[in-house]
Amino acid sequence: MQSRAGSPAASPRSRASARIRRLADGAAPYGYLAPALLILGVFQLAPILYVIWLSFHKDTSFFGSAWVGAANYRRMAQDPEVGSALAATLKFMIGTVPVSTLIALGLALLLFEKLPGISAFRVIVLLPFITPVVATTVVWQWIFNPQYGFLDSLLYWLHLPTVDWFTSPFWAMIVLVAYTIWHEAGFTVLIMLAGLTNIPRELKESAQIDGANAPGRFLHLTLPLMGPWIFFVLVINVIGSFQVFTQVLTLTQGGPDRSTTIAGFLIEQTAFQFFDLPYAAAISTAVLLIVAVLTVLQFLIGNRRVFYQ
Amino acid sequence: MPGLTAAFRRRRLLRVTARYVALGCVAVIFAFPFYWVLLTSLVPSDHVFDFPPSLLPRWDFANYSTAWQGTPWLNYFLNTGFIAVSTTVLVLATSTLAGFCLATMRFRGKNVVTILIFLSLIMPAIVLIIPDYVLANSLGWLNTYWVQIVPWGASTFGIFLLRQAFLGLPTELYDAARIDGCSRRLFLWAIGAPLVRPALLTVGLYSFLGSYNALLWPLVMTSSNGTDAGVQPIEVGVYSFIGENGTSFNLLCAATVFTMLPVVILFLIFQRSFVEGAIRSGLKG
Repeated sequence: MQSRAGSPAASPRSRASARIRRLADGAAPYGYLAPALLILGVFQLAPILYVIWLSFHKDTSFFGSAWVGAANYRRMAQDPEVGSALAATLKFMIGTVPVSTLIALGLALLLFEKLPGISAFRVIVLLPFITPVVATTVVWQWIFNPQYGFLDSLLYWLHLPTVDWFTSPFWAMIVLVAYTIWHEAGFTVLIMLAGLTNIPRELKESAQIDGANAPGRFLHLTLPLMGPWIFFVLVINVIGSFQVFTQVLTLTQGGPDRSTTIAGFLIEQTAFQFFDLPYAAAISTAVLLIVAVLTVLQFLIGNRRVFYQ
Repeated sequence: MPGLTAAFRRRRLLRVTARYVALGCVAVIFAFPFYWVLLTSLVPSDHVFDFPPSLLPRWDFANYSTAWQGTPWLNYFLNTGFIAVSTTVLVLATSTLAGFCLATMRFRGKNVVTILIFLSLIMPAIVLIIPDYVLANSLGWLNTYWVQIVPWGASTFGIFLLRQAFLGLPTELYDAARIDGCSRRLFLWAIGAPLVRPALLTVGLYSFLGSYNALLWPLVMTSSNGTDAGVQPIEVGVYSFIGENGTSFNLLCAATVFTMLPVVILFLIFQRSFVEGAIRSGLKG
């Protein structure tokens, strides 16, 4: 076996080939990254710049479109629909984020044990997440059908007042929130399970040996170590609540009286049903800003309480 | 000490039983809608609005044949099959290349690249749909298969998962291969990729599911030609079907069942690797 690059190159030719080899090595990483970066860059990064650009214009053609400055934003500030959409999104966020995170943590703790048949339960919890939203919302609509649905039949049978789920703004939002929590649970549980897997067994065992009981172990060992994971789930859930679309479309259609028209639904509607792309772009940019601010805020709060070493 | 042991065993039995009871309740809540959709799909149309509804199946399969006719389901399935498989292959390719690169190579600008990839993870999809629509339009990709495949051909989740997997391989493996004269490319495809199969399975399944279940993107980017399925995928088909069959919940449920079935079966086959892969993705290095 001959050593190649190790020996000092005496002749110019071998020095040149060594340089070429190093160059090739230097360029190779970009070759590996190019396909992924190209797709991500073109479809998920650069478009953000275009959206912002579009929000300051009147139509979508790149050349010869009219600059209207902040007109779209002024319109947005006075638009009651945008205000109500933001309020609805806030209600939705308050309803889903804390509950969903707590349930995910609880379920993960329940599913973490190596009991026989535990994987079957994990699969069941994941089923709502891996099945199409269009399909599962059909069943939810049927279950919550006023009069003939399962729930109202149950209420009637229990001699309780039946609820007109989709004609009341309050209950429609409840159904939307409940559905979203049910649907997302599997995914967030997986993340929490990943976090629990990360906790070294030695820590738990030494705590047990030191005499800590189960609640004590949970509060002072598991919970702090799960901090970053809980935080991660919170951030994803907050960002996600602005984007929810399909279940709004199929469960409530944004109603009644647009009370469940969340930000994501409003944007899609404005852009592709009312075909007002620049205005929708302005709303999108506002949403992007809000999401960015919320995420930064969460990181600032989280950094102090969560990330210690 | 016999007394202590018996008491301990009793308490442990109680704890385990309590756990199973809790799991059972959770399972019922999560699985009930699936039971209910199966049940309703088997109810003949004259009994759909029975009050109170029966809790046991009636075993009438007529709904399935009724729901199947009148809508080009086969075309929708073929479309989705093609789109989902193409997207998954593309995602696996780009994620493996990028993940391998990030795991094993050192180069200038690596941090910048990592940040960029991470950024695309947190870009809200709802903000991207408008500019992507305009872009697709100018590319002539609207209402084609291209727009449903290429934009989804790279996944941050995939890149990071594969990076983790490659980081888990021992460095001696690379060194030994290099010494034996194996090029990096050959190493990747012949040695590295087979060794990270679990991660590939997880990423592949996740990508396939995302493609199969997609609604917003194909709904916006494609249009129907009347009764023809065109290039539209299965969930758009379900959505149109709902629009046409509003309150015939027995038919809706039948359609729901046979459109959900492929993805449920696929998931059940791969669930062990998927769950393990997802959980293990959290392990450092």
